[in-house]
Amino acid sequence: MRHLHGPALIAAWLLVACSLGPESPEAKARDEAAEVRVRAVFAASRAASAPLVIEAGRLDHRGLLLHLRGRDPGAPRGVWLWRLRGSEAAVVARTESRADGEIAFPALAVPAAGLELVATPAGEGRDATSRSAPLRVDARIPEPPRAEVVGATPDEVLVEVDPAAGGGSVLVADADGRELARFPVPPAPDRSRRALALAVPRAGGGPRVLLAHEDDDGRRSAWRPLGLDAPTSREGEGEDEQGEDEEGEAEAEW
Amino acid sequence: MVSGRRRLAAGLLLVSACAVAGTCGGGSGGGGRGAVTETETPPIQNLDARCAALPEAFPPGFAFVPDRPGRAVVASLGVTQTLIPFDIESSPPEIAPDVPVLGIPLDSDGDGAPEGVPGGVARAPILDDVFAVDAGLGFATATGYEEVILFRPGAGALLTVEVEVPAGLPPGDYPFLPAPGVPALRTAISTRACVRPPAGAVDSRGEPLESALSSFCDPGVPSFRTSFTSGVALVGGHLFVSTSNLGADRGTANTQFLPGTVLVYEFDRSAAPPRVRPHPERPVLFTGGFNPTHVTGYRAGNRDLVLVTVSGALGIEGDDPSTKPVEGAGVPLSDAFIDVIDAETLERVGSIPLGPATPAFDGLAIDPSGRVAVAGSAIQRALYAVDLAPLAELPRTGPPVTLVRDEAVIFDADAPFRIPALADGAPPQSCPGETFGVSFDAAGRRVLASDFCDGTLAEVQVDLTGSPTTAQLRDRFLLLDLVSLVAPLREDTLGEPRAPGRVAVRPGRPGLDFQGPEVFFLVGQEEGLLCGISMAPR
Repeated sequence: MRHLHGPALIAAWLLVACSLGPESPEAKARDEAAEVRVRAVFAASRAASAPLVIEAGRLDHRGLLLHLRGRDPGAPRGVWLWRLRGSEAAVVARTESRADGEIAFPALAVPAAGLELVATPAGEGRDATSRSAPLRVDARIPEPPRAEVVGATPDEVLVEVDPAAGGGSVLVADADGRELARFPVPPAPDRSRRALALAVPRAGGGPRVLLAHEDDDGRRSAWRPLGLDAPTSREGEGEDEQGEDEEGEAEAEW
Repeated sequence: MVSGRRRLAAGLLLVSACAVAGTCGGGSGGGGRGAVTETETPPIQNLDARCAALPEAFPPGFAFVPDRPGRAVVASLGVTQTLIPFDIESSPPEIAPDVPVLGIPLDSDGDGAPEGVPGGVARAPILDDVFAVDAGLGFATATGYEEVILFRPGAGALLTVEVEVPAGLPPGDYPFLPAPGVPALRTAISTRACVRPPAGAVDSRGEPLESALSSFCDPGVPSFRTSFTSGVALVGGHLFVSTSNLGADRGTANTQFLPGTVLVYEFDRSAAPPRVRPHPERPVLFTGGFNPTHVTGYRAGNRDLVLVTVSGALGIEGDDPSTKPVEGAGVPLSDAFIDVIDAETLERVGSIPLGPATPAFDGLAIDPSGRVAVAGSAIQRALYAVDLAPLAELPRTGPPVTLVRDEAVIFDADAPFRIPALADGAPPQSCPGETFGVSFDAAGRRVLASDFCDGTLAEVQVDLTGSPTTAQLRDRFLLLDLVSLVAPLREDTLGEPRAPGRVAVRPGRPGLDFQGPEVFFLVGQEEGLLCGISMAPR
């Protein structure tokens, strides 16, 4: 025999109560209260089975550290964060959703294999029906942009920049890594349409600046140097240029 | 992954092997006493609820923060090298929410010249290890650029100190420090220093150094500059930094090592900002052998000592293309020692020879009572141990006293404490055993040792009760258990968690002082992991 329980039981009880004879004001009030309770229970039931939501916040430290936020329709309760990898799954963080539904997940490092995450109520397996939609975070680091000096003024150097991908920003820093300027990159797949013509401020008279490409989520490429003696041949076509060891020595000399 | 059933079979096989060979649980001939028990600790899975993923494979190190219970800091490589704070009370360990991750900046030492980019210095620092004195002071050693990066573990920020080279030292002896007599603020201490070997000194191959060295520091005088910063210890107001000083033919079977050195800096933490300077009279100490790989502070009675792990010259066996396994075992090329430096007189006052042992490159594991120190091995599945009791009686000045077997040596190359191999472990031709991670538990009753090759964790009982002699200590070590932590380094385990590194046992009593995991270790492949597990109580 199938037993009724939870919201179904209350609904059945309400149905039976409604079928009884003429109702008094007290009975009507009681029925209304019961209906409110039923609605509340059904609402809670729907909320409990609604999926949790996890969203990637901004990555920092060049995409190494992922800040997550989330929403829990069944809050407050314990929430587990799972990492998925093929058929494998493991809990990588445990937290509590707040009464207002907000979830503050702990930060996670993004390994080279990337992350695929789902959230479940605490105690449930990764396949729980109320799990969230998976959140995938890859560990791709942008390529540094290629650049060429095409002209100069006393205050600025005119540079053509060729980002390896669309979107995000090209960052310009001085030789100490201090950011001087940031230019948005058009989200165009066509290389010619995302190329930038920049006026780069001279870095305190320094002979070089550093360029990097940062994705919208904070992932940043390695820095690529650009000499400011204008105009020059294109730099950064191959491997990152290595400056002279100021000691003039090399490991091989030993 | 080693299944429970396969692990049981492997355990039975190795117990049988121990019974036949009689060498497990001690190389002094008394082996085989310790029955290896099967453990219930399941191996680390490809994804594991006991581990936190790190940004890069082969994380160089981690350290507990002594005055912040439940907090550790992990060094990670990557495009940006980072020092990541972790809460270790939780399982898996969680990145601490209240302390920022410290990304090592381009200009790591704050001298105005970024490293690794044109316009700066070509050499870039590569993190080697991390140490925490307390929440306000931590060190990260780095090779390549050669430096000790200073940071505040409790704040996730670099620590600025005032660095000055004494005016009496020759200009150019520290190319990345300020000119002598001119103090400057820095966030790292350069460990790139001039070394002028004494006349008649030879390299690890026995060749005279005069012909092998250039005149880096003085015209016409053979000299070299330190390389491979390998360890740091703050002892008695001095900062001691070991540098391995690799020479030519690195990564070959006949790697050249130049004389090993320990750099000495005065470190005045009471000043604001703290003041650091190379020691004006004894800035460079020579070790008794080649390849010092770590320094460990030790208090003997009322005196401070520095124990230097001198691993000895080490080569890498070349691959024989006609055979299937990729040969690559370590080849000891010279003897190893534990050198003892008096932190006050700055003299090498003792030396404990270990033979061609090649102790591993981590710090010594010293039991809480300070009686014994244990080291792993970079060439075999073994432990070495020395008795520290005689050190308090060493003279305060040289020449160094040599303490041999039964004076201080417990386990050495001739008679190591052997850890069994798995029957289906890593091929011995390519990975014959490397016990990189060794740690005492907080009670001082167990030593835990990870094997990089087989992926095991050996649990060794140590009984230091009473007043055993050095010789008697040899019988106080007993292999209790061998846990398959991760998969062995075999061709067919590629992609699985493998290559355990540093192991450290959390201070305090499990269940009383903390509720979380007790034993923490790093996994090198396939991705870097920081894992925490609880061991069965003994």
